[in-house]
Amino acid sequence: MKCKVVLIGDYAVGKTSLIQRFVFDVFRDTYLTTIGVKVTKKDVTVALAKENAEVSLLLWDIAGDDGFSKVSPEYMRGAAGGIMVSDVTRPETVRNMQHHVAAMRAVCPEAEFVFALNKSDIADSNSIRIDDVVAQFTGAMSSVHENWFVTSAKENSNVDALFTYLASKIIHKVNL
Amino acid sequence: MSAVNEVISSRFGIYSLVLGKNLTFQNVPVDLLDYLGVESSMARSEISELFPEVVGLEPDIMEIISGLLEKFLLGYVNRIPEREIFFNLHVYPYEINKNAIVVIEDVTESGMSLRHVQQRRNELFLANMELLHRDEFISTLLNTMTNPVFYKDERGRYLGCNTAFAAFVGMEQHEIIGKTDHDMMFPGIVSLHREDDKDLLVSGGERHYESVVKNCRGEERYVIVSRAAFPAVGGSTGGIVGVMADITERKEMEDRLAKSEESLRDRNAVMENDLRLARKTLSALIDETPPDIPGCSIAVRYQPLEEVGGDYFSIVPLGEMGAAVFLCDITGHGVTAALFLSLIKYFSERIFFTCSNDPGGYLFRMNNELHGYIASYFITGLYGVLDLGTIKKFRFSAGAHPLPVILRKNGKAEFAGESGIVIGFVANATYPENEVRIFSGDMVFLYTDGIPETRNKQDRIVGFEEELLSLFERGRRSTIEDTLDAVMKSLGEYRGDVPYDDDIILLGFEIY
Repeated sequence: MKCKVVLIGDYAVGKTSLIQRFVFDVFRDTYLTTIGVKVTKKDVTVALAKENAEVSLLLWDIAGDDGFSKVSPEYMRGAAGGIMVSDVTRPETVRNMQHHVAAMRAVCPEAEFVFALNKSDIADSNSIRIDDVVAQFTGAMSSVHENWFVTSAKENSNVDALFTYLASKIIHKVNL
Repeated sequence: MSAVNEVISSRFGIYSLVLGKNLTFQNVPVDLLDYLGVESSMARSEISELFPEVVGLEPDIMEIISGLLEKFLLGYVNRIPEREIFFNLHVYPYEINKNAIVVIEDVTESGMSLRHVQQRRNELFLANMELLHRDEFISTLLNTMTNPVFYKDERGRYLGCNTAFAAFVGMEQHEIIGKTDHDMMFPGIVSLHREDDKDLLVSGGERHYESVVKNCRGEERYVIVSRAAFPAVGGSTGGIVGVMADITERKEMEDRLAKSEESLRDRNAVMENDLRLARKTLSALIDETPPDIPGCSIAVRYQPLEEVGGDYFSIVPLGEMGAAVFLCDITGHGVTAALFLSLIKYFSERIFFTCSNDPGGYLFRMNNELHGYIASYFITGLYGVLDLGTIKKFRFSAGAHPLPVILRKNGKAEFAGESGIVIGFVANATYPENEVRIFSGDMVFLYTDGIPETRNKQDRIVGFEEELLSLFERGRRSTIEDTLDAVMKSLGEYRGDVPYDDDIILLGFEIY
């Protein structure tokens, strides 16, 4: 089974880094702007009640929203899942996640979502308290529930959990 | 098909493919496979295998084939087969075969250019955001400071300030920016402007000076102004930053302290004068010259502290019988002690008329007088009668006072009698009368506690026992005067450099 998953978020929040870490288990400190569409495939196994399911995640790394060029809704079409990514050291990127969700829901109302509060590794050096960011985020997003992760692509923290959680949600939804 | 191929192949970097109704390519050209970096086995494959970017978008492509949709475009698809490529994926209806034609348009060059521009822009945004955060931090830092801070350009125009400075001059922060001291029509601030600003701008460094300025309410404030030149981009001087530390409270406190010190000096002078007077008064109260008494020789050593002391003695001749002696030590020193002693002198003279020959009765009366008069003040004391008749004896009563020392003719010293409680402490206290036989050649010593409590470097006192007796034994000389000198000298040697902390009275009686 193939699933299209799009990573959406402001520019330089670490979308590409999360994919690089999840798919190739590498991290590059240099920032390289993503242009257009970059699709990376990763096969994952999801445990179901009776058997395991194999799923190919087609991870869409699309150019980040920089306030001037918006993420094209066309890119989101056909996606089974979306990962909203933000940078914990930039509060506006956390706030903007709700706009990204709304934009994707308009195109893919059935898609599953997870949220990544990324770059937790540099929170301390920026005098950011993760708890405050989480409180701000969960306070602003009414339907977040448990589908958010504090991640660090650099330190490989919660990256696998983020993707496999979304894969699991998609598979369970398909199997219903 | 051939017409389409001709048109499309004529453009550099464009590939075309016919897509069947089952969304499968029948024959993907080798150069396209090379371009995409996929294996030759992919020559016959589904569109989603060759282009996984269209996964989920298959319904759109089906609509192209069905003629329901005119075109499909996926722009700037990015891949890295060997080197990075960007291409646009177009899908158009292909009416001849009633299927679709897929066009792959290489846009690597523009994609790279676009990325370069986008990258630069995003980096600038990030840098700008960093600057904004830093600016916000510095602004918060400055506004948290209670000291007024300002900074001006090289022409004296304010570039900014903190809230404390704005409050000081009574303006909003934004109103100050761009103004000079003179623009603000604020004399207090104009006085901050110094001629050496020009020098500071030229030579750099820092200046610190104290000044008096008026704030926006016209209040005069003492301030320490620190100014420093800050550099501009390129290394020249950008302007001057200044910090004012308001030291008005400190100044006022210093003034108050100076006044207080002056007042204390005045009061101290008055007190010193009072003490001098008290010393004179006390000198008048104590007659240091002993009376001539038949049958004995008397010597006195009185050594008060610099301040007014609290020891007193009086020796009164009793005609043929001998002499009466009263010796006391009150707690404390100074003017109060002197006044108290004058009261004791008054009491002692009054009691003497009725109790001159009755030591126990004398102290009983003295005790009740003091207790009834000033309940919180008490003394140690001794009243004795030196009876120099046929049978020589010394009768005395003591109230918590060091006991007399009798230095026998044979050179042995001994303490005499016993003592009652302090005088003036409880009403109707009784004081036992002691009687000790004395003989020709004996010496009787009465003293205050300044002698046994003399302290040496090892913080050890002479004490009230054997060492005290030894002091008198070692001091024995042929005359009472020489003996007292020797005792005082030994005491001085025992004390060493340790200063006296109490008055000393030593009375000596040599019996003939």
